[in-house]
Amino acid sequence: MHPIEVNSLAKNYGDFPAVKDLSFTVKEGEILGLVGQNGAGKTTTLRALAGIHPPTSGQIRIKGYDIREDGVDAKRHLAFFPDEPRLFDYLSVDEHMQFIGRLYGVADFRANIEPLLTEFDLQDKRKAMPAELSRGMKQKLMIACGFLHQPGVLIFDEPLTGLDPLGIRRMKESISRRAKEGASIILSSHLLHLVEELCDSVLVIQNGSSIAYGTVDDLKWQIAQGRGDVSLEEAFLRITSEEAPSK
Amino acid sequence: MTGALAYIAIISIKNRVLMAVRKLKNARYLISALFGLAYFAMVFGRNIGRNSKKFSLAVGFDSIGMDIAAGIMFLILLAVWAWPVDDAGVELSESEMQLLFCAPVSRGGILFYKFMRAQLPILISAVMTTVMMGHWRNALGMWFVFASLSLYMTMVQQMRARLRRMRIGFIVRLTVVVAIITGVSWVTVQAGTFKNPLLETLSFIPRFFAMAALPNVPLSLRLLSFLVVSVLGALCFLVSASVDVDFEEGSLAISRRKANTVTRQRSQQSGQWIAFKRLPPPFRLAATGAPEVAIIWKNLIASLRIGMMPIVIIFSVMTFLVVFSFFVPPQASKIFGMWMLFMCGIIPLLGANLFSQDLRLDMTRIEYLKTFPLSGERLVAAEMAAPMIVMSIVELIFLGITALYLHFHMPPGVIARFITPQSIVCVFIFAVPICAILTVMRNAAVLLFPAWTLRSKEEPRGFVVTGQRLVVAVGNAVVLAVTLVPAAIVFLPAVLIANRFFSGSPGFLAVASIPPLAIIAGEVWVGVRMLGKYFDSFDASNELDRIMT
Repeated sequence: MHPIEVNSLAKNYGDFPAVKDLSFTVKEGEILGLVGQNGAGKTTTLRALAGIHPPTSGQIRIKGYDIREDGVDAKRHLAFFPDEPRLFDYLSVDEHMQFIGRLYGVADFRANIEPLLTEFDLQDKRKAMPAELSRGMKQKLMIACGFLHQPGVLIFDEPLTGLDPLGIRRMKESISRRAKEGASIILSSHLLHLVEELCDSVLVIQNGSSIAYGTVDDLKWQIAQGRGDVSLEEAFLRITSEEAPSK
Repeated sequence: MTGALAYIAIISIKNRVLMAVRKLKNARYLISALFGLAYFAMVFGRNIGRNSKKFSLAVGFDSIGMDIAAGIMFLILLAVWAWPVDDAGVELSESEMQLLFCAPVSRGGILFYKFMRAQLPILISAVMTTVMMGHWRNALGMWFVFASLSLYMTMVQQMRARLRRMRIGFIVRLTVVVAIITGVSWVTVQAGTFKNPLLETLSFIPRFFAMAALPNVPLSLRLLSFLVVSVLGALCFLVSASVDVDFEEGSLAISRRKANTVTRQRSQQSGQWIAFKRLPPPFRLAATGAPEVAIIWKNLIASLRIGMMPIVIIFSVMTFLVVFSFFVPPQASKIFGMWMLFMCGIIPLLGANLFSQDLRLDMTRIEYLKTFPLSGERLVAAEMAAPMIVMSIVELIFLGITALYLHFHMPPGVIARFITPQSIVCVFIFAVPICAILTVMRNAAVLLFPAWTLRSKEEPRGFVVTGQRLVVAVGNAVVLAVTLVPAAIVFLPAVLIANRFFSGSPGFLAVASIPPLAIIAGEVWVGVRMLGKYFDSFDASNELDRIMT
């Protein structure tokens, strides 16, 4: 059993199939990169995994719990980080952390808040309200809140959007560290060099369907076909351009 | 370029109408549109029948009716010069500014585009106004008047900006306008009639507007008025296009102001507008225990920081009333007490709207809520707890003050005998579940019809929005009535039984109130369960365009 198991996931918006027959797994300590063009179905997939959108069909299991049948147990083990942080405008940074700590039943949340705020450069902003934070800081706060209950499954949707260079470096380190500690991570990003740098495996989706799935090296090797090394970006472009006419 | 702008304006109007029609495929929009149409048909249909004779007399160029209408029009045309805003330009959307200001379009082109875009709302306003007057056939004349007036307003706006550049500001303009009105009034009073040369000269042009707008004007005069009004509109357009002002800069300022107003309204709804940022949390959140407490804690903070203003006002008034009660005679005490009793009955209705720090506040963050490790039922119950606590406290204090006036400060009598601490407790324990029912209903409305209750960039207009409000209001009233009927049916036999066996003892209150209370509490529980189940299956993706914009 893997911490993340997705079998034949499909999600329709009305008559429009946003995700079609998607299957993959993520092992402990593995980082899976979800890549695809705009509108490919990445965010829909991640939201279904987080229990936000009920799937039209298929099965999603988080740490063995079905997201539909045992949603509460599944959600205790995961943290979802959307591309657009939506915080509670009337709670300060510190109060956000306290709120999440109690919600997830983190026994010693007050002791855990300080190191997280330091990790994300928010220690001077404890009393600040979201309106007083930049977009990058809001993103960091959202991620700090998500890390507080030390989830085994982390789902990132464009995690580096709005971060400054130092923030990007720290975020990459944080993600890598959580993976090394055994967390299973999915991240979607258009920054293919980030995916290449951080991820162990990649799932390329187009028009809601999987068009390539494997380790980063396998994918690059398949594309290069013995004709030298290629970057993930080049591999992605070749895969999506090959697939595009058939759609 | 003018052709291109006219094309954009016409296509925009066409697309707006098509979008509105397409939305009617959605049953919710269709129902609300039908309700709205029915409402307008009822109201205006009645007006057409009832008012058609009001203007049945022919209104000639010199009639008194025409004099009054022309006088009013003169005042309107004059008063806009005293308006405080003195930015040039016109209000445009962000995308319109990006498109139009970067394109090789003259100011006249932008004004023409803006004028064309405004025609649909102007036409609707003209039809509505004439229907309300009971003379819908006069809509064409009203359209001419409104269209020309919009051009006049635009011209005056540019002229105000021009005057500011000449260091003639708001105070001077206001003074001049007031002086003119005072002077004309003085001359009219001195003459003792509207038929004086000064007023007739000043109202010569406004008279054409009045003739175009009013019904039953002879055809020749009507056609003449259409011509004059159109020529005046064209002149205003030409002046607006040529006057020396900072048009682009002014348009930016006006549009930014409008955008800020919309943002502020939406911020108030989603809780981004916070009155008391630094108010401390009501209690320290323990690390362990029921996770629902975290939601209640969060919403109580929201109640304090966002909803504190009404609480401060209510408590200030109540403190005053408590102190005041010691100094008023019994008769006044009775009046105040009865007023407070009335307020006690109103609080469940008002409070459910006033204290909305529940799902209504968090609806824009529903995706975040859905990631919380809580079942829908527990989350919904927790969300509603904070406003319930606040409403209960307010209700209890109101009841306490009522008792103070009607029991303790009144001489022994019928009122003092009925308004006892026991009856206050009885009313309170009924008021709380009624507040809960109303809160469940408000939360159900926002979850079942999020597009109706939340402000978004694409707001419905006209019949649809009126219908939505009607459906929600009627729905609330019907649900409240239906939920209270079983409790009311049980209440009467419960009182009779209590009176038979427990008359005069404290057991009376318990036996009489527990059965209906149990029914109301059961209904609340069922409501929360159903709402929770709906929350669990709620697919935010189907509502995203409305909620997340």
